[in-house]
Amino acid sequence: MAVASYDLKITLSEGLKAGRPITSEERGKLFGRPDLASGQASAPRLNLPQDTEEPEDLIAPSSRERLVALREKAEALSARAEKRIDKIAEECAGIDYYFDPDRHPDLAAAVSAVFPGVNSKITFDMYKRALRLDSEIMLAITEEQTSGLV
Amino acid sequence: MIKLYFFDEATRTMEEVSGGTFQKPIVVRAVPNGTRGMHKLYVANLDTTKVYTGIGLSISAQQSLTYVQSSSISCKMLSGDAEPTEAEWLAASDTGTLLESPLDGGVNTNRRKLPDLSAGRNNYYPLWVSVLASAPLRPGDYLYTVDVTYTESQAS
Repeated sequence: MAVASYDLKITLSEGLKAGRPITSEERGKLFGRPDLASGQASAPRLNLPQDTEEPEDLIAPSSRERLVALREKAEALSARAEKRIDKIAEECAGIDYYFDPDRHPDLAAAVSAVFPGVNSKITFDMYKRALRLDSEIMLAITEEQTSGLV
Repeated sequence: MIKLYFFDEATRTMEEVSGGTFQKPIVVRAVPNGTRGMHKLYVANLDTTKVYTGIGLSISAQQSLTYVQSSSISCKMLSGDAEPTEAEWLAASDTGTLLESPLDGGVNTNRRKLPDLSAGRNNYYPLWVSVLASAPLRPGDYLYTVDVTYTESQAS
């Protein structure tokens, strides 16, 4: 009786996870949305041409009420999503991802470029830092892009 | 030589599964505590001079490699062309249990059976591998082998 063995690779991945929830202020910085706590926009408004900006007093009360209600529902939904992400983050806090740099050279190069000296694993803390860095880069790009609209 | 194959959707061809090099492995993707990962395989004998009988297939973890091994991964095999139902997977035997030739299709005798492989028939006999992972497991690659036992003889 002879035996021949063939390769079977089981690749386990994890679901979507993220670091701590984004605060209302941070959300404002990222997306220019009003901070509900203060009622003030926490990010600079785009300096759009005057003829495209509708004065607030021209919005009918009913429309404003609907907008407020819509915004409140969106905020509630966002809060629920943030809680869920927070829970996932807690469950994944101890997970480290190890990989073979010889088999994944692109990933190894990318990791070592951001985290010098590391080329074979991604810890949860590294993942959170990468998320934060990604947000900062996106914010910088957005600010750079929007400044050209004046 | 009796070999395992998978169908490459990109090239629309049957690709031979590598043995030991992991250059062309069977790849099954799964999420711990998630849904079952499945992959369809084929076993074939394209050799016109050999006959294979007493074929058995089993799955085992690669002990010689440094990758994390875990008993939280359940591997099962079922013969047949159609994708097995979850009920069929639940009733099938777990890792280490041989699928004997003719493959009995687990506990479901309605599934297609695998005959002995005569010389150069150029037929690909389908079977399925499933993976179910339980947390906590680190994400990454877990290396296993599908071991094929057989008795080889010359074609008459």
